[in-house]
Amino acid sequence: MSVKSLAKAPLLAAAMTVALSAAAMQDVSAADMEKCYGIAKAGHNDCKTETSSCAGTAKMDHEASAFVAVPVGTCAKIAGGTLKPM
Amino acid sequence: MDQMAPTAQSLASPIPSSPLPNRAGIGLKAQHYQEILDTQPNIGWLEVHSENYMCTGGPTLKWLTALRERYPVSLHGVGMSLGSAGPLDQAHIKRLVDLDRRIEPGWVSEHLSWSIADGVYLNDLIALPYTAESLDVFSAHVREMQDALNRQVLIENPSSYLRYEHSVISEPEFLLNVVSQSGCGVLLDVNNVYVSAHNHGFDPVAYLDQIPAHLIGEIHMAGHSQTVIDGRTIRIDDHGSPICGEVWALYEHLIKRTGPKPTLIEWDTNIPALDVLLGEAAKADAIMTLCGQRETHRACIG
Amino acid sequence: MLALAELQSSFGEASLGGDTITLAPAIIGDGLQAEQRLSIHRNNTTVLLCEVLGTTYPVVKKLVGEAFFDSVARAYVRAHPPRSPCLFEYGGHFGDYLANVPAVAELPYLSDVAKLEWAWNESFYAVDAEPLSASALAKIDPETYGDLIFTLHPSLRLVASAYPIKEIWDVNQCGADPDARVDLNEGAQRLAVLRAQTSVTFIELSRGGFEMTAQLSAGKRLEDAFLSGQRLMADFDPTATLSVLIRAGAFHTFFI
Repeated sequence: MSVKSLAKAPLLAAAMTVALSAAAMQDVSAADMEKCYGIAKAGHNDCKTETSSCAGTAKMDHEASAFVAVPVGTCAKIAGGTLKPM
Repeated sequence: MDQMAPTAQSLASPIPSSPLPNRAGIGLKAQHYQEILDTQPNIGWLEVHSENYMCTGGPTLKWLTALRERYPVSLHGVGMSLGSAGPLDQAHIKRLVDLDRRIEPGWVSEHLSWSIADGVYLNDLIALPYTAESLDVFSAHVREMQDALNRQVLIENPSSYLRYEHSVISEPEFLLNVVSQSGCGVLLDVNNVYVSAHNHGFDPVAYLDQIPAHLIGEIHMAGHSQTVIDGRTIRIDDHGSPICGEVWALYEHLIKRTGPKPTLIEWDTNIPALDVLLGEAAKADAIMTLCGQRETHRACIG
Repeated sequence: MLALAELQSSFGEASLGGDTITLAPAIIGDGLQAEQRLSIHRNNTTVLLCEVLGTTYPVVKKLVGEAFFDSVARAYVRAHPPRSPCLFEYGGHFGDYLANVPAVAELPYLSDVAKLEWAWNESFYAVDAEPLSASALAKIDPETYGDLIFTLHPSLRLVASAYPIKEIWDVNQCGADPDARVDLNEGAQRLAVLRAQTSVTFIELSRGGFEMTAQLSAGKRLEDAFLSGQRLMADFDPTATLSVLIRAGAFHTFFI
């Protein structure tokens, strides 16, 4: 099937060859894996805050009175497209 | 309810040689992973909430594994819901067994409470009615958990905000019955005793004094906050501030009787700099040194 | 006296905003109404689960602001409470849920940003696996490239949007330029989300490249995956897509 495949997809073999030669320059292997703690400070990408805890909360949930109808955040930074000016 | 009255003989055998050092430890937070690995502070051990590490891969497990190479670790569960009337979640048990094998913790612990109703996880540690039915349910679930893990677990007294009309015995009595029916040990949370004592008007010293020293495998210490409902102050166990003076005083009282025990500093909201946690841990260590030797009782401050 | 199962059932409903009629008589008031004591538990469940959603969806939270986020999160918690105690797995339907919240209809990208954050979360916690090395692939006879079938890295997720969601994500990260703006007219974006090593990364793909990756992810032969991409994008050249996927470690194993 491969001859027919290559005839139908002439780009593919060439693409794989180029991709492999490029990738070989910086092969991904176990030897390259950083130590987890070596790459970023806490609070960044590799240290997501815990979600489970045994603590309760003193913050009150005010139910219906707390319903906020309008988003007011950094969405003001996003403009254009179908979005109405904010 | 006569069958629920524990006797000295019916209580479980003493906790064997402590699997955690008789020193202060701290709750491990993601914010402090890097600093603890870099500086390797002189603390006895670390504790994590088991559910945060029940993933199959990724950085959080790598951090914990790296830290486990340097410190003893305790796995503190919040999600088993041992007090639920329904069956335990078998998939959750399996995940805990896997984590236990991976981390080889000093202790595995859970709470004297429930969190799951009709399959929904409420993310809240809710007190049980202290009845014969609850005791049967809870003790059977502790036995099931211990059998799955093939180890003794510790059960922690909860902070509570309400009590039930149909409870027939006190919380410490219930806890000691669970111990005698399941063979578990006790994780005594001094702050929880204080919070519940304030909320329900009982004597926290009498509660602590009811728990035999040989059953206590670990102690928890934390800060709490106060909220006013209808003119009445309710204490909430939010682990978001320094341990208050009254709770330190209760801790001294406890340690004078029990001697040094693995003592955790818990801080889960408004998490401070690592140094603040280490300062609280040093305070607990100092109390254990001063008050924890039976022959040096008189040297204890306060 | 309420049996334990009945009590817990009623308690669960009360903690999720339901009535307390069955439960209240079982609670000792001790100076307060039973309802006031139960409100402490309703707070624990509601507020803490909203905080969990805020931890998993920090960009959505920034986009809409804390107060609005909390009101939407509360409604989500009530409609879709967690079924597992492992809360890093909680909130997978939040993106779909946002798509049907009328108050955010004017933020049409919000649902897709949430889906990107969920993909990030899944990728972060996915099982660890060794990425396939280019040198292992280089041993394959080029004649058989078309027949290659890959297992993609278990942390790989694919997210496509009609909006530039990676840019929206970027300008809402800590340390981003506070004056940065995103123009929705930048148009559609197709992303592979991957944690082959430690950090989660986003890889932007062409329309054809995204389709090819999706087909490979579904277990299709490389040639068939390529042709699918080409059908969507006539001038699709797979070189860039294959290069970036191989270099990023997006492949785990292969067979022919």
